[in-house]
Amino acid sequence: MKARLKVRRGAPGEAGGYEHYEVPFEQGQTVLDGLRWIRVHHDPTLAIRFSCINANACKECMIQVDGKTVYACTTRLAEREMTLEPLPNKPLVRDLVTEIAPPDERLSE
Amino acid sequence: MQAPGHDRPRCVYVDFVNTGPAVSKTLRAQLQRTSEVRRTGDLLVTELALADGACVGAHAVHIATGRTIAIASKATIVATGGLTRLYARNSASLNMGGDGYALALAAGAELVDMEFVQYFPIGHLAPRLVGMDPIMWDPFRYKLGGKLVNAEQREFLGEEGRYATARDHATRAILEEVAQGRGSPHGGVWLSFQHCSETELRAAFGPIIDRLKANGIDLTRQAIEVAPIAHYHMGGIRVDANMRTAVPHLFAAGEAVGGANGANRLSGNAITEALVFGRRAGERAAALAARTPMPPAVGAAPARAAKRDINPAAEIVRLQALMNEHVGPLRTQAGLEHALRHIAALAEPCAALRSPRGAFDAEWVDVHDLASMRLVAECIARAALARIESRGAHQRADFPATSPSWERHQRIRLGERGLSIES
Ligand code: FES
Repeated sequence: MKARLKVRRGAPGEAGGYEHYEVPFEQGQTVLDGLRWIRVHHDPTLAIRFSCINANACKECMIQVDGKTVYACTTRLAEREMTLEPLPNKPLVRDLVTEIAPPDERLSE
Repeated sequence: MQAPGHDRPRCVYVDFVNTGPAVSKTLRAQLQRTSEVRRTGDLLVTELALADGACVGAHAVHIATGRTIAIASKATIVATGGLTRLYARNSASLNMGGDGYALALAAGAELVDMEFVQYFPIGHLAPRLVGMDPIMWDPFRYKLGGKLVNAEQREFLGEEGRYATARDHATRAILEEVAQGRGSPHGGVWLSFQHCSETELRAAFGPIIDRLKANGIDLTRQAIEVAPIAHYHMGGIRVDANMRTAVPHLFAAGEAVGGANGANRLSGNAITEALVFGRRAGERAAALAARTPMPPAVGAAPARAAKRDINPAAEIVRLQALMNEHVGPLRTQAGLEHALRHIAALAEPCAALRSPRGAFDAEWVDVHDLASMRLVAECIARAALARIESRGAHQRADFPATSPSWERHQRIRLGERGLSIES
């Protein structure tokens, strides 16, 4: 099976745009699995934020899939085109990464 | 509860599956109530700062912006956890690449017992489960027993439904079943709770049963596949009873420390270790800080030249597979030497660590991680090669007996000419 992932790339101040990837997967695999596959097989510069990978404990992997806010690590890949974008209501850092830490845990100038 | 391997009931749990999350939640809440404590995220420490051999802080990269930051400190505690991300099959989060060991080594501290990596015998293997910790079957076994069976449906541990086998024994027994061709389709064994009724399952694990259903798993009808996964590291930074490393003003706590659990930690002892020794490290470091003037921040180390002909994300995956196969639960001289050759070949690409190119340079983070993982992998493989016996989590197929003359620790240092081991 293959999923077609359309991924929003770029950082603030850069042109940015969507890149398209075809990702092989097995039943049950997640969007995060797909993104990690892209980093290993195509482009290690693709920026995604995640930590716990499996436990859905860190809550760092929130992105938008087809316009809905989800955890990348619990959303299943499907045999179709899926559009992945950073959270629209948080400051963009790069690609799918946004600034999600509470303000008092950010580095102060 | 009496956990496997313990001689009496001495373990305490929060709802069985919730001990870790509950402990961290409480600690976090306490921290937030303490206004003197400032938490800062998105910082990756790349090096400990030294002055006259003592630790005076750290250099870090702020990942979100790519800026380098110098942190001055009167006393520093390494509490970076373990190294289980070095293995393809693991229960690790992304930060478990052993970078705390690499930092401490580079600063002049000693590591101890690096060859003892604990595998958790019944990590979840298949079917694919999302949103759940792969070690979740441990509490299931505590409460419900469960049957660990091979492809012939035989309970090869002879447990008769009880959960009584220590982790190193269970790991070896499972790998033996797989090696003899009696494993499950994905290379593990079967764990079955089909003898439990839906009512029993719900009484024990209500909401989790629903989460399993959402994953398409019905425990009353199917067994699941489990296999050993790297879970904890008994070795680590060598400290004294006051949690001090060999480097003045540098302490360590938690899984980053080596030596408290011998060759095979018993289940139930990791969080307690972190709490007991974490408290001690915190108190000693605070006392030292109270009588130390604040050192000036040491400027960040200059970045090295860029040279990029590897995909570091792919190299990490290769290293993990190699470690799992040759430096995992069952080792041989030939396998360890093979691993060491691969590890040595990674040294050059890792040495070309440049500075991040800007905001969230994911590739830079991977090169950084690969460099620490490579160094720490070498420590494990070298110590495992030198220890020509089997003991606890260190099992040599070519030296299966435990040897009284090896009742000693191996210590590792990093010098001008690389790693050196003493025992
Ligand atoms: S990676 Fe931790 S919640 Fe998704």
